[in-house]
Amino acid sequence: MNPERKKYRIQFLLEWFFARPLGQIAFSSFLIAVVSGIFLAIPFDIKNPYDSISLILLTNPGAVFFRNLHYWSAQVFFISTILHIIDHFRRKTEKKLTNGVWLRVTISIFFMFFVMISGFILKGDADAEQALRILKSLFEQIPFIGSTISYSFLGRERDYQLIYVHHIAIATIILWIVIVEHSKILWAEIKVFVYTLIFVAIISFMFVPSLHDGKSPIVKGPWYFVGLQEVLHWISQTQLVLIFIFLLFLFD
Amino acid sequence: MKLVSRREFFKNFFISLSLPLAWIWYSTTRRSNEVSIHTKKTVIDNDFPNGITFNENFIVIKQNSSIKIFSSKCSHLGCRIKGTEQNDLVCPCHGSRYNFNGDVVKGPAQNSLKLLEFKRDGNKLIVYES
Amino acid sequence: MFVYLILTVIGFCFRGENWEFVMPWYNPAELTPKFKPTINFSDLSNEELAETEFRQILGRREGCIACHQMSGFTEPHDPEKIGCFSCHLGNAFTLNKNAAHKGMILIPGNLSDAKFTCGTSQCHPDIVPRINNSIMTTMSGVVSVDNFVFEESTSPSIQSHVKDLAGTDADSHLRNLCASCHLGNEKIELGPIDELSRGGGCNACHLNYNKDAIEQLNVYIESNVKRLKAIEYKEQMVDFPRVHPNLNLQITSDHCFGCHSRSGRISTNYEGWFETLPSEQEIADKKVYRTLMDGRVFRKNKPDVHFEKGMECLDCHLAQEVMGDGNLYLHKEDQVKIQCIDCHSNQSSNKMSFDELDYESRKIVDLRKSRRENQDFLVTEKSELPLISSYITSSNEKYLITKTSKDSLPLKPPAFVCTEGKAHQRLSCNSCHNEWVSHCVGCHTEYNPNDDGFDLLSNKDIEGSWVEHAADFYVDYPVFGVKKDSKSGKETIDTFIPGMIITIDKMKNDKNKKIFKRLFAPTFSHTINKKGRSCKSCHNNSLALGYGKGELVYQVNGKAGSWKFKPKYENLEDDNLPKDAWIGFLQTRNEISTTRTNTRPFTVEEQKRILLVGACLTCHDEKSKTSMESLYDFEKLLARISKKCVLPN
Repeated sequence: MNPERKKYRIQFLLEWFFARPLGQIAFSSFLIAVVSGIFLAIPFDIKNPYDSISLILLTNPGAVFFRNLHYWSAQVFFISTILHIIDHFRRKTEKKLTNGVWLRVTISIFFMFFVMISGFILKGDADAEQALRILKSLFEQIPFIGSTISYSFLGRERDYQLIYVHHIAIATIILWIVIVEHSKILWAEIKVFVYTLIFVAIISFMFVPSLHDGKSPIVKGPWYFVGLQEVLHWISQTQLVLIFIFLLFLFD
Repeated sequence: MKLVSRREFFKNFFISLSLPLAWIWYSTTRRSNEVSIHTKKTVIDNDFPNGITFNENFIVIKQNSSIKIFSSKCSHLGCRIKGTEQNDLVCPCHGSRYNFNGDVVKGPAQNSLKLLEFKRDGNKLIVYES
Repeated sequence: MFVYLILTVIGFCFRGENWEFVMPWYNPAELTPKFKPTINFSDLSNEELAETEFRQILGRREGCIACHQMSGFTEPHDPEKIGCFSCHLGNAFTLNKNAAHKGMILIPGNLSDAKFTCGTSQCHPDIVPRINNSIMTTMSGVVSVDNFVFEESTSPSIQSHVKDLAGTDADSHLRNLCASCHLGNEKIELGPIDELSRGGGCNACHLNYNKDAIEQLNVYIESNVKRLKAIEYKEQMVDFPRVHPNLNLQITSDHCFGCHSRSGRISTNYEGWFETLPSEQEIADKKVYRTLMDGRVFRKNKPDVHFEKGMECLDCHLAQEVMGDGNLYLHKEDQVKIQCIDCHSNQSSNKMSFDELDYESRKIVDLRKSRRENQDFLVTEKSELPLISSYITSSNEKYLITKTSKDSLPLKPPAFVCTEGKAHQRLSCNSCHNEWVSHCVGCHTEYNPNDDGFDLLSNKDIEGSWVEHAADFYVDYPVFGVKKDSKSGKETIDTFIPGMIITIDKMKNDKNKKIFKRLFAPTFSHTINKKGRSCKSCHNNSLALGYGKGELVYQVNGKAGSWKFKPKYENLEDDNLPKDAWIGFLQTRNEISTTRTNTRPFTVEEQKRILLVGACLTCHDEKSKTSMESLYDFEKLLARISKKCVLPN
């Protein structure tokens, strides 16, 4: 195949891949996550998160379905948002946003990560406990305002209440406002929403996200941070990693 | 006096508010934090076997009459150390290893484990976790 | 971005416990798969479920208890505290039978999964690595000596492991005949540990079935057989047991019996049984004879005095010996820490108070509820291990509490004659206090390629088998030899038995090769008596000196005396020594004649010294004043012998 045709082929594939309405998918899955989260809040007990989730798994198949829906829609939201960002950079359309909106959208990336990781921590199992400790240590290493940020976002030790409140409040209020503001639509497109719902429902019907059994010696964070964990395994100076992330943000 | 638009005025007003707000936020969290740290002490029975005992927040290493209490938080990123492997304390998150003096043997951790102060009170021990 | 993706894949798939590198398809710590399918609806309807049924264990709920309510546990292993999942694994978070049982281990505790069942980080993590290195798992001495006898190595003391056995003559010999007696051998059948049990990991010692549990298990097995034969399969036909076997510290000698009734026959010796050749049909008097479950016939003899007092194996052998202390040992006597002098000593012993105990010892004392106020524990000389079943009163009296019957046995110091005087300083306690050992001579082993065989290591049928033909089994006093401690250089006279005088031919890999070995093995035969032996039974006994059975006579011709020996058995062609001898009469052997590098038979000089006393004993009574004095200072006594005495020249 001559190089010209090859380049054309790659271009075509990229276009096909990114031609999905990624923003719409992200918004749809976000809405699914919010609604399933509301239903999940009913059996969830913040005073004993691990216990209440295990009870859900054993006795409440309906809640299990909503939990799966919540988890998988969140993962779809996360992935499609990242792809959506990459897509816009690729097409160089980010300039379309005004400065203020641009600032809020950028900060919301941090909030999106926080929503994901707080959801992981709210499981309350061994993975979550260690993730919380690591996150706390990382926050506290930010110079000057570290302990303030850690306390404001993560709360007192062994108390999941603040994290729960932030998880719900940030998700439903801050993220929604930011999404609406930069996309200028109130709800996702109905066609995309239905397809996303069907896709997520099928996966939720098939797979249960794992809950640590309290015995396995393997403790890992969520899949999107496992790469970071691998990096932290090699680098001792955690401040370096923080600076690295901060710089990534700046260049964004 | 220079004439300023309302928009301009409100913008400046809110920006100037942000500094005292940040200060209040900082002092509130700091105060709450301090209160919880300074009362951070645990009372436990002074009844340990020879060797290593793991507690939720600390590790007790006893050798006949000498007792050393270390914080169970790994000096790398704070994961809880709750196991040993081949005469080393090992952290389950990234594999840092410490010897029984709290010094790093291997792993991404660089600093030693924090040695906690404690006081004997009758047949109990008061461990200060700050 | 791409780099981060690679790192994510590595972190997700290739990292295991403590963030160590593992292969994703062989990650032993990954007990259940990451993503579990949901399309497994509960097998119980909502009316059958009560939230209160699922009690909180380890901070969360478990589904096992919905179907399996079992009793019969000790407190530490109560499922109310640790659940079922902690040991049996599976999927604790589902009520669907197939999903819940996926990844489940029916019989946990085998060494292949002990690290994640019994030895998990929250339960007994320090014990599993010790067991893995214990000689009961490695069988190092057995493998090493066997290789030495088959001339596949030049030393009987090489660190070996039974799992490394391959296909050489020695290896296949072990695989055929010996290799099931190690803790790594898996227990795959339900049921108690009995005479036929071999291995089983943690269960080998700690598993106990009480009467109810055995009954219910038998009922279950019967009903299961019926179900399999039924035309219509009905789950309801099976009567599942409701009583779970117990895991506790009540380790009776029965647990040891299976493996230790073989090889050195320690378990059977201890109880006073020795193996004979007749088959079950041939024996008449059933009281004197006993048939084991594997068909071997034993005859009653005098049991060990400790057995008569009600002591079991574990009353002497400590956990740190049996489970190991983490170190690899070459031979079993290296791993054993207990010695006679730890209990029976007339000197002030080392003591340890309760506060100085390590975690394991303390735990055992707490579980046995045997803590006594203001009383200390005895400590062993080797490795300074506390004897937690012992206690020393304030008036310095020592006692031992037996494990099963909980009697307090007084620990008496050795008699005057044992410790005083220069004569017997080199003797070990069991040299005099050993009542009997079993001798086996004339062994012939060959390989028959047409026989049906069994590989005891991989538990499979194989073609071809090694066959042993024994000649004579008999009971008598042991043979004496010298043992040298490698660290201190101190020499001790100890007991030995034939181990073995063997001919091996028609070998597996070389039909024409023939090996003859005349080796004796040091043994502690566990047949201790209270009174000790008579003087003549050593000094005037050809068997004791290593010459074999026969007539050993001191002939006096005027002023000259000499010893004459006529062996009972005729000489073997291979080395011109009698069938049961270790050394020739007043000779010694220069090549390695034992199964250890630090042991040897008596030198000619030593034999002459022993026979010198034997010469005296032909006239002087054992209990006479002269004989007693000879214990204190024999040289002095010799200096003033009467003119009537005729010493050997």
